[in-house]
Amino acid sequence: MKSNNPIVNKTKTASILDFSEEVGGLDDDKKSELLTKIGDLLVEEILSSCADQRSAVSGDPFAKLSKQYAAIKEQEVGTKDANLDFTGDMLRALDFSVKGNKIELGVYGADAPKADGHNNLSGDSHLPLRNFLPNKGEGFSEEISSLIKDTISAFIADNVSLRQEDLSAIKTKTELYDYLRKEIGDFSRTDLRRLALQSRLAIDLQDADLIDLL
Amino acid sequence: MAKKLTKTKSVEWKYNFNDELRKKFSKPDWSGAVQKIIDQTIVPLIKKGISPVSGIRKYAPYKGVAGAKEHISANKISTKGMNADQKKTARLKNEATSEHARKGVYPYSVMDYYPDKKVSPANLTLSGEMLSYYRARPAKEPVTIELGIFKDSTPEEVVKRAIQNNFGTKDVPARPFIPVEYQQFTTKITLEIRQAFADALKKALKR
Repeated sequence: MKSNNPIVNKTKTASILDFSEEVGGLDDDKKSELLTKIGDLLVEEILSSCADQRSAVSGDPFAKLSKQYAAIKEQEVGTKDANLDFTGDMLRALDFSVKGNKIELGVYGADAPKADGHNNLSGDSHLPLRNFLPNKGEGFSEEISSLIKDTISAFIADNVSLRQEDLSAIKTKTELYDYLRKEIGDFSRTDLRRLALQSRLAIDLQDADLIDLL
Repeated sequence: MAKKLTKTKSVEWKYNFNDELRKKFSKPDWSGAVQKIIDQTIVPLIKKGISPVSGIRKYAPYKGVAGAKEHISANKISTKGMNADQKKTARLKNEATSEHARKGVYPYSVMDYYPDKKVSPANLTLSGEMLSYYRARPAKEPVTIELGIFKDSTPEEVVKRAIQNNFGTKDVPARPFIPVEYQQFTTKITLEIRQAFADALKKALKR
């Protein structure tokens, strides 16, 4: 994934995430389906990271609130947590759209400037950085990046059809894993086993009497 | 959307395995692992005010809070330019306005009894009772488990609350926490449930 130049204006503060490398080989329908799954995942994980007072970009804890603001927040909301949630309006305005190989992920509407205040995608904010949208060249935290990879690999496994004539020629564990690697991707045996067992590939392998080779 | 349910049930995973594998597959193994997902991923997510149901995201805020805040803001007396005595009087009046505006408004109305309760986010958690009944268990069908709050093992009052929260009422916005028809869990939770299935299947293959 690559982050391109973000978009920052009065009604939109958004990252542009380019997944050409990951989805380039898929047809348009599958590409859109996969990127929609990834977009949903990113929104869900950003919300979760913010609730944990962590940056979805770096994984690092957010800077604590100033004493003055913390006192106001505690009075109004009942907490001093630096979780970007005072009314919840900004985080509820977090959304995404899919365009070709890219996902536009951001905060839209009246809360967009607030989002830039925290993310400083414009370079103009003086607030402590509490970012959840990647700037150009940035990515997501290790945990979120790993979830993106898992989502992609599970999607590929779900959309692979193993041909019975190919399966009938397989006699050994090595041949099976070589075949799965060719069809699903260059994963370790552990990952290939996991992907096969958690998808309908398990049925294909069972029907070909190969499931015990996993 | 169904208003009356005998149980709030969700997500049935069925795979067309042969008889031999079905017999070896342990539904308790799988449901036990999924119970851990409920306890360690799903319930903590709900408590952060985020729905585990795909597409719902952050729960709608508590209804009365915005109205209370507006009233407080509209009637707030500014202390700018006042002397010390005047400021003190104004502050007392502002506090009284706040107290009046918040009276009877949930969750302000319960925060004395539940000091951990926050105004934001809305998170289906007061005492934790309802979510403590969120369970995974083997279903009757082969290679199938069910997740939810089950009438046969949950107090009636809790089931009623679960239905009201999941589907909403005229006074309470829907805050889905158990996927029902056509819904599914979020991507991360689905990945975890599938991983748990793969682990249970791997054990079955070794039996």
